Amino acid sequence: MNTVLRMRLALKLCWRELKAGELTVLLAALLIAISSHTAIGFFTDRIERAMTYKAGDSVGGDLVVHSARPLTLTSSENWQAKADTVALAYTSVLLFSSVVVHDEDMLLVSVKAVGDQYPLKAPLKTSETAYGQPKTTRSGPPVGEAWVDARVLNELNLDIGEVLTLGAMSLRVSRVLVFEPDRGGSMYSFTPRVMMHRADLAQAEVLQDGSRVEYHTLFAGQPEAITAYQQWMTPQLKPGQKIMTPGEQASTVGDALARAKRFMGLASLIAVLLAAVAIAMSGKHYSVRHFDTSAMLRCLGCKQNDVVFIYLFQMLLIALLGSLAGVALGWLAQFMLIYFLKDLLPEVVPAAGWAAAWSGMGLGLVVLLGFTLPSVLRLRAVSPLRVLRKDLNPLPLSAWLVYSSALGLTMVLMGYYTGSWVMTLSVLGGAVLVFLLTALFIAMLFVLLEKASGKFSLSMRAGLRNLLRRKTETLVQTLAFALTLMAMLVIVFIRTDLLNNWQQSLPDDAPNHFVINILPDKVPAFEAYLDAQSLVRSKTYPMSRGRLLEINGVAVKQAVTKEEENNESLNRELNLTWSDTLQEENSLVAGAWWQAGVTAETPEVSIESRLAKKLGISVNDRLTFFTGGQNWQAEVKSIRDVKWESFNPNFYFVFNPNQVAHLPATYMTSFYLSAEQKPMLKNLVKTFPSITVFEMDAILNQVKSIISQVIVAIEYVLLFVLAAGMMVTLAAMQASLDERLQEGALMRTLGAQRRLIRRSQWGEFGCIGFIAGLVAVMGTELVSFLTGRFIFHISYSPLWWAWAIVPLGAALLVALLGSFSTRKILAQSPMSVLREG
Amino acid sequence: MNEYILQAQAVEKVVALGQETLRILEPISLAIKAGQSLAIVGESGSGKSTLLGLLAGLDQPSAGSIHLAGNDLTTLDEDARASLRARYVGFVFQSFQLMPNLTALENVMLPLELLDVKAPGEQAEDILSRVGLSHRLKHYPKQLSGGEQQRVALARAFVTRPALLFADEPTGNLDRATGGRIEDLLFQLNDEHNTTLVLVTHDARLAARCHAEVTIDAGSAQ
Repeated sequence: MNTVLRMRLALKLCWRELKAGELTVLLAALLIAISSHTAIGFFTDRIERAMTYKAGDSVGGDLVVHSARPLTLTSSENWQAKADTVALAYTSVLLFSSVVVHDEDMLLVSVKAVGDQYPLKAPLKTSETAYGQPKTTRSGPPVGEAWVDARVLNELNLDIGEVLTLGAMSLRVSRVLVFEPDRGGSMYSFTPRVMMHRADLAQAEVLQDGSRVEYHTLFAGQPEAITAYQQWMTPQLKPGQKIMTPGEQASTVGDALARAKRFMGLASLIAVLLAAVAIAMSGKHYSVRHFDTSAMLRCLGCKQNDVVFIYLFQMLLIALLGSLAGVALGWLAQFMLIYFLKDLLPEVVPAAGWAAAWSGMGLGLVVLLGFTLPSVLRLRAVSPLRVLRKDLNPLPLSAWLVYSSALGLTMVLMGYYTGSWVMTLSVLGGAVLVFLLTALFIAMLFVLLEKASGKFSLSMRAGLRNLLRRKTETLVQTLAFALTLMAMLVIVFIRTDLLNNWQQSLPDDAPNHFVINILPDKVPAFEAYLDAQSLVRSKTYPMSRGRLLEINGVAVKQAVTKEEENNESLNRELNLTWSDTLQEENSLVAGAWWQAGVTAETPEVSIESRLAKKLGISVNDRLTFFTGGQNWQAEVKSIRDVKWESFNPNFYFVFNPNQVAHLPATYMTSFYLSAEQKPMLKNLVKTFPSITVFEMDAILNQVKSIISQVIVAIEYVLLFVLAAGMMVTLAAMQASLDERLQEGALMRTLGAQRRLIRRSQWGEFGCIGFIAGLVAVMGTELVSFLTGRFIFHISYSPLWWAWAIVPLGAALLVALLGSFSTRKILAQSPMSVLREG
Repeated sequence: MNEYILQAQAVEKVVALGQETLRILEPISLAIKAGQSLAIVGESGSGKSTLLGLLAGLDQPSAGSIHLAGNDLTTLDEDARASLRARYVGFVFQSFQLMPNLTALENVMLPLELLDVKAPGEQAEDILSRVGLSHRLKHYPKQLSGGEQQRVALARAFVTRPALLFADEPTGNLDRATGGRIEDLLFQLNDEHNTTLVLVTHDARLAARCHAEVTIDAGSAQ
C-alpha cells in the first residue's frame, strides 16, 4: 500500500470514527486538557502583562530612563519624534537637592521639577492642609507654586498659602504632597520633597553647569509600543544612562508578582499532569477497542506497517485537531474570564502573546503521541487470527520504556514552561510517590479486603469483587483519581499558604507611619504617648548614621565587583542600629546571634543577607565603619534574612549594643494609624517637635491593591484547574464504561435488582475514592513540603485535618461521579447492551 | 498453473504449553479446485477453525505446506500473506466481525478502498442492493439485526470478487429461518462469482450443500 493510499485511508477512517463518536472520549480528554492548559497560559500571560503595566504606576512610567543630563542618544535620532510616532506619552522630571528658606529657617530638600504632562501614569495625592484628607490630583504644581511634604511645613513653621524661597525665586506653597506614585525606593530618604514646575527653574537660578541633577524621562503607552521603543532605544543609550522598567523597582510588588507567576506556573504544570494521565487512559481505551478492527484490517490484506501508519496518522490528526480546538477554546475561555473580571482588573489588559498557543499545540502533540504510542504500537502486534479467536490479545510492549520517554518529554516541556526544575521535579516526584504508594496500598488493601470480604453486605461484596477482579484497571483508575485529587489539594494548600503569607506580611494593622529623630531622652515619653492612644507600634530602635569604608582592610569600592561599585549602600550614609535580640521576622542564615550582656573585644555586627551577598561579605569578615569623624572596625558575627516587605523598621547593619551604645543616636519606630486617627499627627508633631514623620499609608494601600488583584487572578486560575480535574476524572471513568455496561446488563439479566447494582457501584467507587484520597494527602504533604521549602519559601505545617476529611470526601465524590458517569448501566435495557456487545 | 487453488500437505499445528506440547491438529492434507466448495465439519473444539486459520494464512502451521493460488504460504512472512489475502481471499465469520464504528456501506467499501479501487461507493451500494440492504446503507452494525449484519458481511466478502472465500460457521449465530436465507444467499453469490468456498460448520445439512466434505475429530481428519 503506498503512502498516499495509506493517508487517504487513514483520513477516511478517522473521519468515519469521528462521525461514529468513537474518538469522542480521546478528543474530549485532549480538548479539555489543552484548553485548560492554554486558557491558564493565555490568562496568566495577560494578567502578567497587565500587572507589569500596572506596576509601572510605581515608577511613574512604563519605561523610565535615568540620566545625569537631558536625554540625548548616541545617534542623531530624535527620541521625542520616535515616541510621537508610536503614540507614547513622555515627560522629563528633574531631581536635585537644594535649600529652601522661610523667614529665618532653612531646610535641605529634594526638589522635583515637573512639566505639564506629569504625572504620566498613576495620579498624585495631595491635601489642602498638613495630614488632611488626600485628594487625587492629575497634574503637578502650576507655575509659581510649590507643593511640599508635610515635614517641610513642620520644619519651616510654614502654612499653606505662605511663600518659601528657592534660590532667586519665591514660590507660594499651595498644597501638601501626600503620595507620589513614582517616589518608590526613595520613600526612606531623609530629605523632604518640594515639587515645582520646570518652567520656574530658570528664574530660580538654582541649577548651574556641573550641578548634580538627575533627569528621569518617563514614557507611557501601550505595552507593545513600550517594548518596541525600549528595543529601539537601548542600543543608543550613552554611558551613565539607564533604563528602569517596572519589574526592576517596586520590590514589594515585584515580589508578589514573582510569587503569583510561580503559583500560576504550578497551576499550568498540574494541568499538564492531568492531561497526560487522561490521554494515556483514553489512548489505552482507544487501542483496546481497536484490537478487532486491526485484526480485521489485516484479514482484509493490510500489512502490519499499514495498520501502524493508519493509526499513527489518525493520532496525529486527532492531536492536531484536538490541540487546535483546545487552543481556540482556551483562548475563548480566557477572553470570557477577562471579560467577567474586567472590573477587578486594571483598565488596560494587553493582548495575550502566542507563547501559550504554541505551548498548547506542542503539548497536545507530545502528550497525545507520547502517551498513546505504546497502545498504538500494540495494535501492530494484533494477530489476524484474532478474527477467529477473540482471546488472542497482543503481548504488551516494553511500555515502561515508551512511557518513560513520554514522561521525559513532558518533563522537558514542563521545565521549559515553568522555568523551574525544582518545581517540575518535586511535582513529578510527588506523582511518582503517589504512583508507588497507590500500588502498594492497593496491593495491601486487596489482601485485607479479600480476607474481610465475607463480613460485608451482599451489595458491598459485589462492589469489592468488581474492584478485586480488575486489579490493574483499578490501580490505573485509582492512580488517576489520586493524581487529580493531589493536584487539586496542592493547588488549594499552596494558595492558602501563599495568601496567609501575604496577609501576614501585610496585615490590616501593618505599620503605615514611620517616625525618626526621636531624641534619646524623649523615648519613654514618646512610647507612652503612642500607648496612651492605643496605637499598635513596633519596637523603638536607636539609629546612628555612618558609612561602610572597608571590607577586610580593602576599600569597599575595590573589594566589590564592578557591578556593585555603584551599590546605593556604598554611596550614602547607612542607618546603623543595635539590639540585644534578633528582630521579629528576621532569621539567621549564617553565624550566631550574640548573647545578651556578653561583651567581645571587637564590636560585633549582623548584616542583611542580600547586601552581604552583593558585597561578598561573610561571617568573621572585618568591616570598617566611619561615624562621628572616627573610623572603627567590627566583626561580622551573623547574616540575616530580612522581610523588607513587612513595613517594619529594618536595618542592613545591627550591632551588639554593648560595644556601640556610645555612638550618637536618635531613635525610630513605626506605628499603624487609621484614616480617622490621622488628625492626631498634628498634635504628635507639636508635642515632639524634633521628630520627622513619614506617611507610608498611601504606598501601602497601593501595594495592597496590587496584591488583591493578583489574588483574584490566582483564585480564578484555581477554579480552572479544579474544573479540569473534575473533567479528567469523568474521562477516566468513561474508560471502563464498556465493561461495566456489559457486566451490569448481565447482572440484571440474571435477576440482580437495580438497587443492588447501585449499591455495589457505590461500594466500589467509594473504596477507590477512599484509597485515592488517602494517598493524595500523602503526596500533597510531600509536594507542599518541597515547594514550600524550595520555591515559595514558606513554612511547612502538616495538613492534619486533611487526613481526616479528604479520604472520606474523596470516597463520596468519586462514588457520586462514578454513579453519575455509569448511570447508563441502570438506564439502558439489558437487551440492548447485550446485543451491542 | 496448478488446477488446485488451495492445497494443504501434511499440515499440522502444535503449541507449547509450558514444558509440554499440545498437538491440536494432526497432519492433514487436502486440495480444492477453483470454483468448488469444501466443508470442514466437526464438533466444537475439534480443531476445524484452527485448520481454517492455517488455510487462509492467518496463522503458520508447525509443519507441512499450504499453497494458495500457487503461492507457498509457509515460505511467506505475515506481510506477504496479507498481500495475498488482499488479492485472493474473502472472509465471513460466525460473529460477523463488522467494524462497529463504520456504517453498512462503509464496511463494504473498506476492502475496495484497501485495493485503491475507483468509486468504491457504487460497487458497495450495488452489492448491498443484491443482498437486499439498499435501505440500510447508513446504518451502523448495532442498528441492524443479526441476519442483516451477516448479509453486510457477505456483501463485504464478495465485493472484491475474491477467488477464495473462507466462511467460519456463517450461520452459527442465527436462527434456523434466517440462517437458511443466509445459506441460500451465500451459495447464490458463490455461484454467480464462481468463487471457491471453504466453509467450516458443525451443521451436517449445510455441509451437504458443498461439493466436498472433510470431517475433523480431535485434530485428525476422518
